[in-house]
Amino acid sequence: MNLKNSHENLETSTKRDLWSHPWGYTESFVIAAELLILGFILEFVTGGKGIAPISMPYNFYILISFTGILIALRVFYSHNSVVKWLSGVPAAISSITAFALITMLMGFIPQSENNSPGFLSLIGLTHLKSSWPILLIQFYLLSSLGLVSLKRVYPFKGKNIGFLLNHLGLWLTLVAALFGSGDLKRLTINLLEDGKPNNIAISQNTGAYKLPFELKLLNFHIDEYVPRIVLVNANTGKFLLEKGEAAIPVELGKTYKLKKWSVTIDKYLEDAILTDTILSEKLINGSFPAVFVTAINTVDGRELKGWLGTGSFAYDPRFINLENDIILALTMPEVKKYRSDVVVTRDNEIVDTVSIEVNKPYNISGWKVYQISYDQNKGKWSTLSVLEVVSDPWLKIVFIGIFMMFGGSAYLFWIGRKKIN
Amino acid sequence: MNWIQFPVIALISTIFWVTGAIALGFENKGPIFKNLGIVLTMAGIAVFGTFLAMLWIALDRPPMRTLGETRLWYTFFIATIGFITYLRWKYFLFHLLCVLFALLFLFLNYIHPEVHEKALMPALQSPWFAPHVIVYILSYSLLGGSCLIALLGIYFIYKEKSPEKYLDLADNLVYMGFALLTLGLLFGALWAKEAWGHYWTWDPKETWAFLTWLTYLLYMHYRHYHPNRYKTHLWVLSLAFVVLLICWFGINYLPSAQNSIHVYGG
Repeated sequence: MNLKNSHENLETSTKRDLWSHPWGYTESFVIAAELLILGFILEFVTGGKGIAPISMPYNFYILISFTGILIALRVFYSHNSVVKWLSGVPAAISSITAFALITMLMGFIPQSENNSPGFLSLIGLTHLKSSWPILLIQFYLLSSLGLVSLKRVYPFKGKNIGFLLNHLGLWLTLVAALFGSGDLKRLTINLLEDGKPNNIAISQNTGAYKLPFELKLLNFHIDEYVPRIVLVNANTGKFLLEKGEAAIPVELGKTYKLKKWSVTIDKYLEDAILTDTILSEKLINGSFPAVFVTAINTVDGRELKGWLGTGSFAYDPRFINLENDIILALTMPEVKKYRSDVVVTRDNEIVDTVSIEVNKPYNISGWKVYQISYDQNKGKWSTLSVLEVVSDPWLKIVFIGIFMMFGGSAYLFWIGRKKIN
Repeated sequence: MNWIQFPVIALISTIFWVTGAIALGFENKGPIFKNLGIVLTMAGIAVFGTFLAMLWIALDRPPMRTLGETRLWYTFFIATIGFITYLRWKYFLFHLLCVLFALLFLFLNYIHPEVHEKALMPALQSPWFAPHVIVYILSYSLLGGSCLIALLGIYFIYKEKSPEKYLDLADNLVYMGFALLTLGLLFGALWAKEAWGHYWTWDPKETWAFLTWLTYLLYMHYRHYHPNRYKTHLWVLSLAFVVLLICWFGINYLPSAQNSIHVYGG
């Protein structure tokens, strides 16, 4: 009896020790672990569907409430032991650790947009970026980071600027990314060189969406690099190249040494077509780059002349058989640039005529229009251009946060650790 | 100047760096050794830097596209950082380790060169490309340095000496490295917004870059608030670099990363 009593006492006393204030690392890590487990349970209970992000205006209300609560906690309850704990180092370290843990799971487990069957999916592990565990941990991290930042905002001191740029900047970026995800629209729009304006963009998840403007494709254009000349093993299709050697881009008049063959480029047609058996230059649908070469075997002096062509969706490629199992060929040219010349209209009135290319999106009334793809089969003869239209009303806040962190990084770089101490 | 000439350049730089390090090793035998060591090391850096510049010109694009190309920059920066920390703080052992590290990367590129072709895909033709990669490789070099110091520190603890002096140096490198790591991540986000439509898509490389960032963030917080737990610091710092290495090239082998837009071309 006595023994049992003392045992119970011991248990309650360790328990009281564990959760008595001030909370330290053990409590913080237990809370982080509980949030994670709770997240996985919630995911399981809701059928592993993840969380659909909340959009305007509810995300805004939640964000205002969340921020309001943090400010109220800082201003009115800063001496409360839980608030003190949440503004402290153990909470910060445990929330970063938990976030790192989820990120690591995301790094090891293949993530997919679609819900795949199976247990991993059921507890959210295949779609972690929109799962309950990451949401709960983000709230934990944002509470800690928010309170830590507020502590230095109020009362404000000049020496805390570097600290605030980093911490508040990160808080703003994370908050805007989390709450703004519900208002992010990423849609694709297919344009054909058929002269018709289009304003129907498509999203995988939400279907068709009518844009507040129309786009008409005038011309889709691809710039290609020059093709490369290469020896190919006829049986395996593999390029015969030394370690670290790259296939050589062709250039008119140049002579190249390829193994025991010396190859001279006598003619170079950028746009060749095959008429009967003769290659001639003509810029029409399906034309392709071709070269006329003289190949001399440097060992036995044998000479071969002929056409090489990359071929296209309309024509077969042209090779030269040099030896039994070695052929001389041109590689398909790589794409250098592609762009769409587009007329932008609104209510049948022309607003703009623009060129949209990769890395050079076009801005119109809160939307960004990106060049993303085309008909890959037809290559430079594609008459289809695929554009992406993106609207993200929260982007400005993300950028404010990012630029604050730029400042914070400069501070870290120059001041270093010593001065911070 | 092209990639085929790499073995010659690698050999010349190796000779300069090794003889330079040997000369610096005898610095207490007289100033002649020290000066000779400095000149030889600088010559090695100059030769290698010139090679990089000429490769850039010859390829007509920044040589930063393939894994092998990023290793060239790594070699250059780690050798430079080791040398500068030696000049500034007189850590000969650290300089020596950096030289060995640089040679290891030269050797890796020698036995496993990547194809260094001329074509650059449209998405990479951006003013963000060069700064994004340069700050990252510079950061990786500094953090690699901090990892070498951590390993030295672990050795000192094993020998029952205080690793404090080395940890202080490691912190200087970590703070600079982390600042650049942050810049690299943010440059990447701004670039992604211009090229791919969104600043963050949890692409596997992004995921691992973020994890690397969080790991160093953890180290800095823990180190700052518990300055005397040397052993933990040293281990965290060493392990953080393992995460960084997975992010850098380990992900090429991960099943979760097969669709990444970041897997190095070759």
